[in-house]
Amino acid sequence: MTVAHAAVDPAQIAVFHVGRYVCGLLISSIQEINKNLVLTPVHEAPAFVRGIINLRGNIVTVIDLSRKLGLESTGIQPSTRNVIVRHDREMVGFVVDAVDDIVEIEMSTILPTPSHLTKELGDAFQGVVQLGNELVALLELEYLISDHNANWAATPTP
Amino acid sequence: MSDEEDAEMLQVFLEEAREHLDGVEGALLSLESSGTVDMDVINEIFRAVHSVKGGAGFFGLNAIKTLSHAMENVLGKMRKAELSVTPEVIGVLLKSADTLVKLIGNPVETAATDVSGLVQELETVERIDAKTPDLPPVAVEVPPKTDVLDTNHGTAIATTVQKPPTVDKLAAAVAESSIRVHIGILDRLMTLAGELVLTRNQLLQSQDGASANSVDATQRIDHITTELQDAIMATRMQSIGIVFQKFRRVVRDLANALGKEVDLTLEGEEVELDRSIVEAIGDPLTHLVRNALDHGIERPEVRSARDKPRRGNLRLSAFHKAGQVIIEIADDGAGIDPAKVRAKALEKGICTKDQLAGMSESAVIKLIFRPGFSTATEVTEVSGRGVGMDVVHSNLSKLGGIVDVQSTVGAGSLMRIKLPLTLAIIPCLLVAEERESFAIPQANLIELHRIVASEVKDRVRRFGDVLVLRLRGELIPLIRLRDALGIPTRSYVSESDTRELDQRQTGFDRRQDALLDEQERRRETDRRHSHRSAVNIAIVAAGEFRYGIMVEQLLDSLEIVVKPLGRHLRHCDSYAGATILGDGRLALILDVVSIASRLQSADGSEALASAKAAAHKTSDAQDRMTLMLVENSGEELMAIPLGLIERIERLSRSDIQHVGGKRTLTYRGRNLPLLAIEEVVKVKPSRDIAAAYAVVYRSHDREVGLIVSSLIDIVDSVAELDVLTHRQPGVFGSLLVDGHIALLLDIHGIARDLLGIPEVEEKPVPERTHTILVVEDSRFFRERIVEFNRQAGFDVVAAEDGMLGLEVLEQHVGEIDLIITDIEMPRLDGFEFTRRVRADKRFAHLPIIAVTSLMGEEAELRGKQAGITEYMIKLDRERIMQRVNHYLFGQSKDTHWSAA
Repeated sequence: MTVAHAAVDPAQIAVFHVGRYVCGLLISSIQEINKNLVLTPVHEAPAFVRGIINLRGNIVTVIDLSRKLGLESTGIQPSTRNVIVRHDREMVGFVVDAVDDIVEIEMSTILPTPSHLTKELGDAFQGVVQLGNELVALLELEYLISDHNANWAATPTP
Repeated sequence: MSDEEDAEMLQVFLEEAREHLDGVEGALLSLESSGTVDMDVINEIFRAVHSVKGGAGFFGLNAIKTLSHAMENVLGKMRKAELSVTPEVIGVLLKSADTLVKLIGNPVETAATDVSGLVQELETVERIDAKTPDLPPVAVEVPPKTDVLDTNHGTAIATTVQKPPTVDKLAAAVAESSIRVHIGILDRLMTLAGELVLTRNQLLQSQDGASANSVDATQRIDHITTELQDAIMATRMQSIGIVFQKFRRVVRDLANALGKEVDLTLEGEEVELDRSIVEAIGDPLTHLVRNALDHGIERPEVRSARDKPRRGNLRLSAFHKAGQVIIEIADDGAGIDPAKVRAKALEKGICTKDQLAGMSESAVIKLIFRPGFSTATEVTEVSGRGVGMDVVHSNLSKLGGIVDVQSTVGAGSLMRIKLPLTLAIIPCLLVAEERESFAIPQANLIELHRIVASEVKDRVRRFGDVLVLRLRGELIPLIRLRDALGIPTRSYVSESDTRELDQRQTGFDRRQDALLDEQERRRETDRRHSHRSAVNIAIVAAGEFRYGIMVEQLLDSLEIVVKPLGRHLRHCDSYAGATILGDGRLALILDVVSIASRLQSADGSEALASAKAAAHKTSDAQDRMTLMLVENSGEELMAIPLGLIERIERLSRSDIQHVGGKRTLTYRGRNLPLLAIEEVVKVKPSRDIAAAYAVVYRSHDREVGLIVSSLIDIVDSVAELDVLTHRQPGVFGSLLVDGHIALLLDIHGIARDLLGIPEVEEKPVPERTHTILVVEDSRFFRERIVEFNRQAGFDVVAAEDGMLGLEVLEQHVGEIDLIITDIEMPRLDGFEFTRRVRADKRFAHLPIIAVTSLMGEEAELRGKQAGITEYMIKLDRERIMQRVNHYLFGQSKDTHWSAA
């Protein structure tokens, strides 16, 4: 569900940090945010997959959001969190460096994604919104979730 | 009645109609094929069509009503034996039934469909008179009564429908005691059973320090869970007959379309499979059946021309074996031509010429499953280009199954599908590698080996890139789990020989792992397989292909719930899913078949082939013998050392004569005594002596021929000789050749027996007893050779290898008169031993006879250069003793044999 089609206005978004990006995601897409980082690696999985976790009896794939955003993979810190989204009857998780806040935004305040971002990351974001002096880039869920068949490359084996 | 109720009633009617019509097709087909007119079956069909007609009338589904009515007429006549059962009639009825099914599928829309064409056809066949002379030939027209019937039935149906279908249901229930359950409920039960299994596993794990009561209760829960799980799985089981039965129609129609005559045999219809598999197997089976009919079974004329019965045979059978379900599709058609497959593989770039050259015929045939393959020389409407074989293969892989093929050109083909019984809960072996756990399904697991540190160097060998395990005479390719999955090495064996965790390890940060020094890693790998560490190998099977997975740790054997991996991981072929362990950790389930493909890849199999070839050449093949394998009755395999054979003669009746109760063969003016193996050895006699062979060899100064029915092969045997199990006169022992037991024949012993030659030969009495040194590492051969010599009256000293042989010489200076030595020995081989003997003045004069299992000019030359006096075949007792006698008595002892 894109922010533009959010059923509620003002919409609530969760703000989190991923590398040098400050991102936002509609909370209605979010199943939960937890500290479940006991990742079981899946070797030879696409590079953007960090591993799988056991979420109350379900096997959930955890995506490396930094990699998807073209950044280096980040290590696990005390503030690292796992954001679980539900899409198409499947749950997928993302590792983010830190979760800030849940804020309300008015749809009208959403601006189109600046060109330097679209150049690099295409459809990753649906728009940006100003929060204080930070520019929050709103994540496109479809992009997050996609398995990017065309461009995944297996992690090179050492 | 409200609209909703109407709709519901319609649904119920439609469902029942479908069920009725399901049975109709099968019944019509069995009617056609049975040959006799079975009234019960006809009645059954009649009733089914009749109910459909009535219901349709009630709901105003006119097309269905009209069509079923016309069918009913035809069936009515058949019921009264006024119409014969002919393929024509059945054909029309089948077509009509098909149409009815289509109409039922979309009743409202099709209510007004024009079915007059079919109705006409039905009316036409109806008018054909019955062949039975007893009955009145005139068909009684049923239609006039229709209206009356209809209203009657109309009301009847109305009544039935107003009461919910329980009446019929009860009747059915009483007959079969079964009940309809919505599939969703079964699925839920299945999921719950899965959760229960996981929780039970958790409970079992946490039993340490539990009270006696708790342990008791846990055990009971364990027990109950297993039973509950079994019961729930049973609800999901469906018999494969559901799928098989559909093929009656498919085969009938297809055969007709292709102009072929086919008999279909179905076996094992009662075999049960998990519902999901039964659903999924339909497509692959259809494809295989179509292939068999299209490309396999030939047209009747072609078959006749090839001396085959006109009617082809297609057999579908299902049975259980070793925890799996096997489905076979066998045809007696043209078979798959390896030559064509080779050509196609080359053409499509699937294999290179070299790769093909190294492949056996059976391996070549299996290429049809490779992606991009097609053997159809023309596109046929029926099975497309035949490109589906790889799709069949991959579809079955997804189910956890495999397909294999055997074929003989001209005789037919056999497709064999192996499937797991159920997908969801499977027993498996848990293994660990770098602290990560993995599950290997029991269904794929053949055996486990733990090779102790001291044996690793001997049994695990590297040939180029390929690691192999020597197992009971075979070479099994190995792959390290860490290599198969790309697991980075994170821990290492420190100087103190303990495992240390690499400080840099995080588990996710592969970038940092890549920093691990290449050198360091290699050092670790070697250390891991050094003489200090034992090695665990799980031998698994992917279809017929067996290989071993080297794992760091063997953990537990347990039942796990298979959970699918998410969408993002579906390209990870190595994994068939994941499971949650008792402690909440995750273990990935290995897809043994996919991992096998890494080994079987063009590179892999080439490497393996050269590994095997290299193994042959290495000197650890001490007990290798080149053997000719023969058979008499087709039941017992026998082996004869090739080196002892002079030649093979084909026997023909005219050449065989019986002289004085003994058979001889006239050959080049001389008589060759023919010896029958069964007169000495307890084996079945040869089938037909006139179509047999004579294996000719020299024994006791004459030529004799051993009768054998067929010559099977010539092999280099690496197997060990078992001298105990099959001990009997005429036989040295038994050995394993390609998985079969072969008796190693003592052909000199047989000759001696049958020619009536006494065992101990007369020989000149020596002035003193000569002493012979026998140097041979193989116990069997050493004992044999020592035996020959002792029986001939010599003293014998034996040594197990060249080094010991030298020691013995030292200890017995001046006493040894002759040396018999093997060539392939550890520590010091025959050549080197001979050189050293020749170099020592004290022993340089001794005759040295080398005994070997193989002869080769190159070897002989080397031997002569080293100073070997003469070369003999190990088991050639005759010649060996002859030469020994020659050197000891026939020649002056002053002769010096110096190294050339």
